[in-house]
Amino acid sequence: MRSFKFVVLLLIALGVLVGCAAPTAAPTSAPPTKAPAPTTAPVAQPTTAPAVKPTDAPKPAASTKITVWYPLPTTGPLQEAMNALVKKFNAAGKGVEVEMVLTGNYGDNFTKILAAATANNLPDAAMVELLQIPQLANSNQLLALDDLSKEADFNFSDLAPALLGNSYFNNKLYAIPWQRSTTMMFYNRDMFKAAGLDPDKPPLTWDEAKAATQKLLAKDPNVVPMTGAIASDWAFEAQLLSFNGALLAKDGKSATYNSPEGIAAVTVWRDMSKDKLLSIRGSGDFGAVVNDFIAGKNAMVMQSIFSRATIEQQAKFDWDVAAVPGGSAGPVLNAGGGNFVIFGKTAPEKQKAAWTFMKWMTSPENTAEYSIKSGYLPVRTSALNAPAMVDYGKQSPKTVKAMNLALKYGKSRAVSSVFEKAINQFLNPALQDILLGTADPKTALDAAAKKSTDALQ
Amino acid sequence: MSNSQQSTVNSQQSQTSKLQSRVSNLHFDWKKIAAYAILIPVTILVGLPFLWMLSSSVKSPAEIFIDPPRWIPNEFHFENFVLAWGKAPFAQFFFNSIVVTVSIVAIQLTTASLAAYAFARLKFPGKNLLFLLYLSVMMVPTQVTLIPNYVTLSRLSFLNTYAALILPFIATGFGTFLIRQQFLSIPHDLGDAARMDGAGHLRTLWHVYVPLARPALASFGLLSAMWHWNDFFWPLITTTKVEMRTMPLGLQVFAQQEAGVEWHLLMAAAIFVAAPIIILFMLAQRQFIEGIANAGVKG
Amino acid sequence: MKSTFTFNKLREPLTAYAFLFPSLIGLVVFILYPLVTSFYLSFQRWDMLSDARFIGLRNYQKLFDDTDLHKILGNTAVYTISVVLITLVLALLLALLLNQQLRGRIIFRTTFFLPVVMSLTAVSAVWLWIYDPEFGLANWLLKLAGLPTSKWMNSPQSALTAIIVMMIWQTLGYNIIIFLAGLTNIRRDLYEAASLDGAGTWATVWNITMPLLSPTLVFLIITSTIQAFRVFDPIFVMSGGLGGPANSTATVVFYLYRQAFYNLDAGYASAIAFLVVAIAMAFTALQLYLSRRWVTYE
Repeated sequence: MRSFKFVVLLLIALGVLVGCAAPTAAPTSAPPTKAPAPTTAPVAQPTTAPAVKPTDAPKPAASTKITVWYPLPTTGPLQEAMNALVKKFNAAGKGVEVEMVLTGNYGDNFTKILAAATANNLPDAAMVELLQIPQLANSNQLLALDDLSKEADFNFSDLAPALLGNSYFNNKLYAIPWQRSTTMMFYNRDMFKAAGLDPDKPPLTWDEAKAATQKLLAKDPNVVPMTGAIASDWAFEAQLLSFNGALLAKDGKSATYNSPEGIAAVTVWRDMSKDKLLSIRGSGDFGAVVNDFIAGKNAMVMQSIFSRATIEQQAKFDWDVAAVPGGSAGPVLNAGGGNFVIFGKTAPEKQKAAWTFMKWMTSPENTAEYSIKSGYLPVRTSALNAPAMVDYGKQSPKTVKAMNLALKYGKSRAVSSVFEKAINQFLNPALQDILLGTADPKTALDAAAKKSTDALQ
Repeated sequence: MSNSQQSTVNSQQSQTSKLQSRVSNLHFDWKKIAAYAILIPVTILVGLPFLWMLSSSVKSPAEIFIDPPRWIPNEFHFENFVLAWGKAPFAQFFFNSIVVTVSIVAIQLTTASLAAYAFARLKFPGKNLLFLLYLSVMMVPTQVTLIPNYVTLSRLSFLNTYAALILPFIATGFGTFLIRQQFLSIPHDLGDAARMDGAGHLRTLWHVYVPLARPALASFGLLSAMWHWNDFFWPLITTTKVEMRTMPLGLQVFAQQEAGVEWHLLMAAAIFVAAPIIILFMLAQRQFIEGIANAGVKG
Repeated sequence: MKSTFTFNKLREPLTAYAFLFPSLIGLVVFILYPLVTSFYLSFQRWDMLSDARFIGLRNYQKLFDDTDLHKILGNTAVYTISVVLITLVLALLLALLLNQQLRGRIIFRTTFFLPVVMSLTAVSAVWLWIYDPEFGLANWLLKLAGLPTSKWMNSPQSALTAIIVMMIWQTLGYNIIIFLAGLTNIRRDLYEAASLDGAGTWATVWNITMPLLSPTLVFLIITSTIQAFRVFDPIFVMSGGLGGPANSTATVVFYLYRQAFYNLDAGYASAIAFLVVAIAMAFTALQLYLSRRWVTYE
């Protein structure tokens, strides 16, 4: 009884203590922003800053501080790679100081952006998942970059075309590619040899893939020859493009994924899955399939190029990388991931500072550096010839091979400001019903496409 | 008041009752055998996933995916815990989590006990309506309050402070309801007797109701501590500075889906993130639950 | 309750309001105000990025027309009923067994409570492994028992069951703790009187334990139903944020979240929120009404 009282008292005392500590915590975090009145700091910062700044202009030493939100967890190899780059940039004497705020992952990053937009509290720039960018552009939250991208010291035309398509909305440029990846096919060369397949000739088409998987299964009935978390929009869109189909009509007003091409694209997978040649996993298993491949449970896995590092570190067998097999149009690798954007409401000189940062980050050397450290694609074709990348290619030839393939077969994803609402919301359940359940391809895709088209209008 | 007298009487009663129950238990030993026969297999089944976590946390990455699964690793890698701890500023996160959780639990126990007493023992206009309001707190999905609360805290300039992590949780419908239910089951005459002796409501609450509802207060405190210790989403949305973040945000580091999960480190981290609550539970159950059952407070 | 002796009529209500005041502040600022905001929003079209536009009752109309929502309400009902019923029965049984002098009961209790404490991020990672269709523990156990295996999270037919099983595992310990807290409140002398009277185990449980445990039981039924009905985190984590496969694990609060933060349809999300609150309120009112008829307060 006495001890209980003691515990309660202790808790209350601590509560009071913290109650006092909380207000003091606010001022200590305020100084860096150096905004006028501390009570209005977060809201007033963007609007009041420009009024003050012009008088400071003559002093070149004073650097412009900008905040950039970046969808990564607090630590990890990617964070270390980004941190090193940001540090280098801040020390480069560009008159800009970047504070990078780590916001978890793409989904959490976007939720934070929505909350901040509502509270008028947005950062100056951010990296955003590419399907989310049209939503921001459509409601005038982003700065159009067309003029800035024409600056003489920015080699725009060198940016990889495969990655650039998702930067546009309504014919305006809103984003610069940065943290991008595609689905690749990793395969176990030892298993290929054991099954009498040529490990230097991975299947390029689904007909070849079918033949190869049949041989692999005949060799070892305990192995699932091929796997991938492909029952979702990302992998399906690439598959659809490789069958000469498209998610949306040219005008963006109707869904076309239930075309004969679309049905053919999904039926190939469904049939191989029925014959136990291909194991299709839910998207929650994205990480699990890599682990299974490393454990030698599959001969081929369709998985993000990003997983290459994990495979390289852990696989105890001879592995290789290839493009995902394709349909009549040959392999297609569509790049997903995140792009840099600058927010429209931020002060003009902060926008300029953010642009300086983006320009610097996407230079051939720096994109090559991030690419080598992170496993993401370099955003410039010329980065493949950057000295660091050439060196790295000697060390890890398969990585550079994967990057070349990704840029060679790369295509953009569909652009729509209602991608989630009109496409994913209906397409993904239909794909999963077909590939993991019992739904008929045509019936399920037709029903979903009708809902999509309704939502697009 | 006759508090001390009463408790000596209680303990005497419980002494005799323990003797009696021990005597009567002799006849019913088969009941215990049946209890073990059910409890042991169920406990093992429930414990399996945790055992797996424990065993994975000391494995090498290579040993985790061996088929068939190996429960006892060939070599123990206890350094996984050190490795995982070093992957994020966990010391800072730990401190923040302690500050936030302790404050929330202390505040909630206070506000909920006060409110529960009012609902259980006092008459006032609007009682039913207000009680329904408290219950409705539990029904409103946090996803709905997310944006408005973010805007409120932003207007108050509380983002990136402990206040942002604590203030939204000062009231608890769940706790008020739980404690009210326990207060309701306390005999009226106990409280009335105290007040007859001239104690105000606050003293009656503190000296009669709070001690008697200890099991419920302890359970609620524990559950609340656990919920807020593990809360992920709210700290993520309201903080942008690493110095203000909490333990669960550190766990995220290990679960990067694209790269494949670093299982051994994730499991090690999950164990040290949960450890404070597990320890609290083991202390609490001896102190509160067992202690009360043996002392026979209500006797 | 006859406690009017020395107090005048105004004093008691004033005390009550003073006692409620601290929690009411929190309630009004952080629950009621957002709820009012959200009520206003439910008549708007709003994407959180541009200005809101009044659209009358269209969002509420959509509640009736949205066939996906109806399917998802069905999922939610299946989930809620299964998790609440199975967990309560199991927890009550285990709590009764644990509420006696047993060797090692600290181990039993702690084991049951462990799943409650573990972070969902880690728990879901383990369960995804347990549910691996080829190499997981769940199918290994099923094979040992000679039962047919399942595809678990990889099939629309079994994914919801998989999450239900995981959540029974996770909430069991919490229910046991609350039951135990309620059981310790029951006076020992009542049991002793019963056992002296020669009452059997079942008779004692039925005639003494159950009635005296009824406030706890009511509490658990109501709170577990509400919590299960608004389940979000396990769905989100287990399905990789998608409610799949094929919407089979999507629940109503998950759907609300998707409408707001994926589809940027905050107006519709608000309308769904009111549907959630209305259904939860109706259930709670019904349960409170029914409970008045059989709950025994000492």
